[in-house]
Amino acid sequence: MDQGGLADVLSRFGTIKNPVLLSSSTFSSGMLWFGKGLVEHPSPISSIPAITGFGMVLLSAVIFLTGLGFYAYAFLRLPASTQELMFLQEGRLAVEQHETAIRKRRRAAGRIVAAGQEAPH
Amino acid sequence: MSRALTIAVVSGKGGVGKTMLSVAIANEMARGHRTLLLDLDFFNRGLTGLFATAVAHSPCQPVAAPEGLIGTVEAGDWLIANVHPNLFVLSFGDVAKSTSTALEAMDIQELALRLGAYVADLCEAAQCEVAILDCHGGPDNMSFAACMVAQHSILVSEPDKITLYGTLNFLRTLAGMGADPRPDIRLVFNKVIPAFNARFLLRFYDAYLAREFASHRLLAIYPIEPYLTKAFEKTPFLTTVYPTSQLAVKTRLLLYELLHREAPELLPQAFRHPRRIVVWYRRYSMGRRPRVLELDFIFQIMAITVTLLLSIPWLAARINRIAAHPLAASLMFSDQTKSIILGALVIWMLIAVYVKWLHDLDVFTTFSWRTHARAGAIAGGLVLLLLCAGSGLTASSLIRAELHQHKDASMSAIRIALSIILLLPLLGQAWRGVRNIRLDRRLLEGGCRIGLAAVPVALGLVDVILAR
Repeated sequence: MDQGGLADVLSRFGTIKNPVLLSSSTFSSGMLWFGKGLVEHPSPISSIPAITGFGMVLLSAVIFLTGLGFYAYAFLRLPASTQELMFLQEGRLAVEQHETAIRKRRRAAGRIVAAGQEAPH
Repeated sequence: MSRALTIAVVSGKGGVGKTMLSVAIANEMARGHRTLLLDLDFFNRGLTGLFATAVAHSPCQPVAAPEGLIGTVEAGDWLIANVHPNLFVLSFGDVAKSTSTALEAMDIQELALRLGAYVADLCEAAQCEVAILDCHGGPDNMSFAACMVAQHSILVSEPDKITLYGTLNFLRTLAGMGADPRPDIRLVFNKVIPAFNARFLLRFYDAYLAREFASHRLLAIYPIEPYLTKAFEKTPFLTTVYPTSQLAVKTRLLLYELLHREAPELLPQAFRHPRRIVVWYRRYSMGRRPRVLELDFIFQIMAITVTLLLSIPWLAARINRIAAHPLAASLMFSDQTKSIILGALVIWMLIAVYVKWLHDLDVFTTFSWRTHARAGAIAGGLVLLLLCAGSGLTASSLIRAELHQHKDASMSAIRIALSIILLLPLLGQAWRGVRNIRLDRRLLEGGCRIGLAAVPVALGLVDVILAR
């Protein structure tokens, strides 16, 4: 519920947490599959494929964990639907306008009181 | 008699469900105390219209009209009717339109004093310990006066832009009136559509709105219940659809949150000491049917699974042809794997259908029984019994099979899981029966529910014992 640039941008991603998790897990599964193949069947000529495979396996784990972490964060902290997101933005604006109106009213009341005190002089 | 507990139900905009909430609160309070329900919307008179039929068939007591509030009116039009055990409703005739302008022009402190005196008089006349004030939808003088008179006020809102502006405007106008002491107002989100979840609304409230409500917690979140809105105007509402609704569950939680610290003795006995886990669950759960039991969701999963079962082996075969790989071969699903996956999906769908039918039949039978449509109730009850007996006997046959053929561990797990899944709804029926007897004192209905669960289980047990 924080304001600010990054948080504001991030809050929009809450609505696509399911596709993000699905894409990250599919992509990482694919990477794990090909990476595992390279590690299990090393080339007799060069060690580069094996190292690349190992890197791919590691990266797949990182991608999967990032997707999972983002999902958990979005589930707990971000608006889960477009309606929630819209309400968050509009509600924030409504509260800001409400606070401005209160401040204006207080200032006006203060001016009236001050004018009342000055009048007898 | 000490001063009656007064709760005002107000809103910044009409159509947010104030009247339904007022009726629910009054009904719950009437479980333990004599409760008076007052329609302060003198010109729309939604509550008066709602109870018109019930008032016509209930014992009534004439009371004085609030001449200090609305001027001189025809005597004899103002009655207190006992519409439900312990529940009283103020019924009245037409009020002149010019009164509206007079009320809006009246000094708010003066209006609050007169309203307070009239509510006290009515409570005295009907010997009520609780008064619920159902106000007009919007920021009118009577709503503000009701907030000043009541010990607690409930401001009903919906999670949308228009209603939120109205809600904040109501709070601003009330604050501008400088009421002393400041009225105790709590917020309720009503008619929440499925796109919103409770976690989000609680977080939103804590971040932006709590300071407007003296840092009190959000009082309750009510999900939208379309069938309830449709049935609301059809009496008898309180004895038909209301008891099984989320409106009832959430209203008990609302009253607990509102009164458990300051006046626990006013809470009806049934929800004076709820378990902490129950309070937590009801606060965070919207009470909607779990997604895994929605047929639309299951059909989506089925479509995706069938597409994957067809496309993955095809893709794997192409990859294998280009570059032979042992993992590609493993993706060529065997017929047995396909059968297990599809079988599991079909069983999942059947369970969802079974749970839905059980619920629909239960609502139909209860509704028929309580509206005295005995033939419908008996027919519904028989079908319900057949369904329950079917699930009990299926569960027992699975248990019997497990007792006689316990070779395959995976089959054992499936059989046990299925038996539990089939028996769980029966357990739910029995639990509802117990609650019918304990809370509503509906012995016959509760007994039938327990019987519906007990007969199939007994049949199943006999079946298992005979087979051994």
